[in-house]
Amino acid sequence: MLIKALTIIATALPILIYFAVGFRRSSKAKDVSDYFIYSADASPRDYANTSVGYALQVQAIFLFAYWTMIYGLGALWTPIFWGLGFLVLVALLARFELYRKESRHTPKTLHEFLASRHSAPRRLRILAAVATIVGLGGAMVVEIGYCTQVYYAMSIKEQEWVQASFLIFGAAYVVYNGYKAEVNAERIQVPIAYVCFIAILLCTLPSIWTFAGRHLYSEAWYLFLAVAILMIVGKLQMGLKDAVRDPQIWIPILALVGLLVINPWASPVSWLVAGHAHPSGGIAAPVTSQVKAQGVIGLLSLLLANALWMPVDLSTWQRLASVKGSDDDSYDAFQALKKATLRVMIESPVSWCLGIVLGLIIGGGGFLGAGHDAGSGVTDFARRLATQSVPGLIPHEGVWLYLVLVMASVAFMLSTINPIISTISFTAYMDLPKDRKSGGARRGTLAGAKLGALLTVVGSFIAFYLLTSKFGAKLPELMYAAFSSQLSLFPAVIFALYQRHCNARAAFSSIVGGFLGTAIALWLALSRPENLSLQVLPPIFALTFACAFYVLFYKIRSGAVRDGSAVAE
Amino acid sequence: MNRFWKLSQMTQIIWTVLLGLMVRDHDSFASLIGTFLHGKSSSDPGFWAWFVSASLFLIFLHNIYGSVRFDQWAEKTGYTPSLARSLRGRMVLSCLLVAALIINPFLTDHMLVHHVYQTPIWTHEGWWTMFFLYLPLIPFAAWNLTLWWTEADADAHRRDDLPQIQQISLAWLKVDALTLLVAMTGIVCFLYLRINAPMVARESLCDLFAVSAVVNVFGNFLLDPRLYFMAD
Repeated sequence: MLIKALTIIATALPILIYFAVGFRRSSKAKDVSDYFIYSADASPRDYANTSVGYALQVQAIFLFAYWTMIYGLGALWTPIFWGLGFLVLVALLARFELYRKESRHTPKTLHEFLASRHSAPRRLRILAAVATIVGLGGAMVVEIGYCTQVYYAMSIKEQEWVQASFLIFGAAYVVYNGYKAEVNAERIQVPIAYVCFIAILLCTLPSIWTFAGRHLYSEAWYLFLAVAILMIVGKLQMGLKDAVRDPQIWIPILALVGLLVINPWASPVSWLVAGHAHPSGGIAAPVTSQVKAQGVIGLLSLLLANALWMPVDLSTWQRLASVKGSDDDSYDAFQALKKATLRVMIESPVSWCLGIVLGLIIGGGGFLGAGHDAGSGVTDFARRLATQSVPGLIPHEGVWLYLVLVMASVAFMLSTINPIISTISFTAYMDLPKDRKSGGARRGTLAGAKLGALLTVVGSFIAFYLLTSKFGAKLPELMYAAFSSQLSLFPAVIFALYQRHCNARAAFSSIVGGFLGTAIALWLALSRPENLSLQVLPPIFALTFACAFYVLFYKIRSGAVRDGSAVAE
Repeated sequence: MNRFWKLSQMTQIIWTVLLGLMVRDHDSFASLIGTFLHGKSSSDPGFWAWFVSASLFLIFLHNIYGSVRFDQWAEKTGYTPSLARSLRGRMVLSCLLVAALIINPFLTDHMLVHHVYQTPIWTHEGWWTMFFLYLPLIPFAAWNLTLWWTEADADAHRRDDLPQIQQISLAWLKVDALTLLVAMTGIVCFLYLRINAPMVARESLCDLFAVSAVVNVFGNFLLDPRLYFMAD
C-alpha cells in the first residue's frame, strides 16, 4: 500500500512541477500565433530542446530495450538511421526558409504550404492533415500505453485511470497555453527525464558484471561512455559559449563521472541490484550476428521510416516555424538554426542509445524473469526494482529506484505527448475548418484554438479506447501503420520544398497511393501474424506507392511544353 | 559529338558483347530458374523459366536499342544533359553510366548461375533471385529520375517534330513507376505465400518479374513511340 502511495506521489510530483511551469504567466499565450508557434520567438536552444524531448519517447526507450534483448547491438541501427534523418533535415534546412518566412506572422501548417505550392484544392490539405492526425494520434496513444508498463510492476489494475490522468493532467497546460507552455515545460522535462533515467542505469549497470560477466559489462559500460561523450559533443555544436551556459551540459558530465566512479566498484557492488538469470537471446550472440539480426527488409524499412521522417513530420515544421528569425533573413539566424539541428542530430539518436543500455542491463543483469518473453523485460525490470531491497543504500525498502523510474517514464512520455497534442491541434485548427482557407489564422480566436486542442485530447482518448477494445493485441501494428502512412506525404513535400514538378493531381494521388500501400502492408501483417517480417513493411509500401502514384498521375501541360516551359498542370 | 555520347557508344558496344555471352549461358540459366521454380532438377525447365530468361533478353535488347535511339535523338536536337554543365553533375552522369555498364542483365545471369545457385537451390527463399532479377532495371530508373528532376526548366533543344526531353523522361519514369507497382504486387504475393506455399510463392515472384519486364519494355514503346520509331 505504501509503495502504491509512493508511486502516485512519484507520478504526481513532476506533473505538478510541469503544471506550475505550463500555467505560469510567462507561458500564457497571447494570440493564436503565440499558441501554436510561440510567435516565432523561440530560441535555437529551445528548438533543440523540444526536438530532443519530442524524440525522447518511452516507446522508443522501451522498444530499444526490447530490441536489444532480442537483437543485441543490432538495435543500434535505428538510432543511426534517426541521426541520418536529421542529416536529411540539415540538407533541406535552406529549403524551409521560405516556409519559415511565410509563417513568421501567420502560423502556417505543412499541409497549407503543400497545398499552396501544388496550387491544389482544399481536399489535398485536408487529406494531408488527416494523414498527420492519424499518424501522430496513433503515436500518442502508443506512447501512453508503453508508459503504463512500469505501473504493471505495482499490479495497479486501473490502467485506464492511469492513462486518463496522464492525458488530463499532462495535457491540461498544453491545451490551455499551447506550444508556448510546451516549450517552457520541456526545459524541465528533458533534464528530469535524463537525470532520473541515467541514475537508474548507473545504479543497475554493475548487475551485468555478476550475471553476464565482465565482457558484456564492458560492452554496456563503453556504450554508456560513448553516449555521455556524444551528448557533450552534441551540445558543443551550438558553440562552446552556449554549451557552457546550458545547465543541461552537467547531465552528461555527471554521467561520465558516475561511470568512472562505478567502474572500479562494479564487481563488489553488482549484487546490490540484481536479477537471477544468465543472459540469453540477442545479447548472447556474436556481434556480427547481432548487427544482421533484423534482416535486410527490416533494416530497409527502419531506414526509410527514420531517415525520411523529418520532412513529413508536422511537428518538425512547427518547431522550425517557432524559431526566431530576422526580417532581413540574416545568415546568422539561419546558421544558429543549423547548429541547433546539428546538435539534435547527435543528441537525439544518442538519447535513444540509453534504451539500448537499458536492454543490456535487463538482458545481461538477469532482470528478465525465468521463462519470460523479452517483451515483458521492462515490466520485470520495474517489478524487481520495486520489490528488491537495496541494502546499504537506503534502509528498509529499495523502492526508491522504482520511483525514479516512474518519474523518468512520466517525463519521457509527457515530453512526447505534449508536442504531439500541440501539433495535432495545430493542424486540426488550421487545416480542417473551412473558413481558414487563406490567412484564416488571423481571423481565428484563441478560445477556438484551445477548444480545438481540447477536442483533440478527448478525441484521441475515445479513439484509443475504441481501438483497444476492438483490436487489442493488434493495436501496435495498427499504430505503426498509421505512423508510417505519414510517409505518403514524402514525394509531395519534397517537390513542394524544391518547387519543382508541383502538380495538384499528382500530389493528391500520391497521398492516396501511400495510404493504399500502407493498407496493403497492414493487411499482410494482420493476415499472416506468424510472419514477423511483415510487420515492418508499412514504411516501404507507403513510400513506394506514394512515389509511383506521383509519377503516374503527373501530367505536363502540353501547351506549356510547346511554349518551351515544362509547367505542370 | 561530346565526350558523354562517345562514352555512351562505348557502353553500347560492351553491352552487345555481354549480350552474346548471355546467349551462351541461356540454357543453364533457364534450367536453374526451372529448378528454383519447381524445387527439383528437370530436363524441361518449363514455360515460366523460359519466359523469365526471355524477359532478361528483352530488357537487354530494349536497353541497347533505347540507348542508341536516345543518342540519335540527342544528336538531332543537340541535346546535352543539364547536369553536364557542372562538375558535380558530370560526376553523377559518369556514375550513372558506369552503373548502367556494370549492372545489366548479364550480371543477373552471371550472379545467379555462377554464385547464388551454386548452393542447393531449394535452400533459397527467393530474395536473392528477386534482387538480381530486378537489379538491371535500377540504373535506368535512376537515370530517368535524374533526367526528369534536372530537366524541369525550358527546353532549349526543342524541335517540333521530335519529343522533348521532359516528355521522354516522364514517359520513361511512368513506365518505371508502373513496373514498380507490378513488382510490389509480386512481393505481396511472395510474402503472403512464402510460409504456407513456398513453391507457389517462388513462382509468383518469377511470373511477376516476367510481367514487369514486358510492362517495362512495351510500356516504353507505347508511351514514347516518337523516340523509338523516329525517322533516321
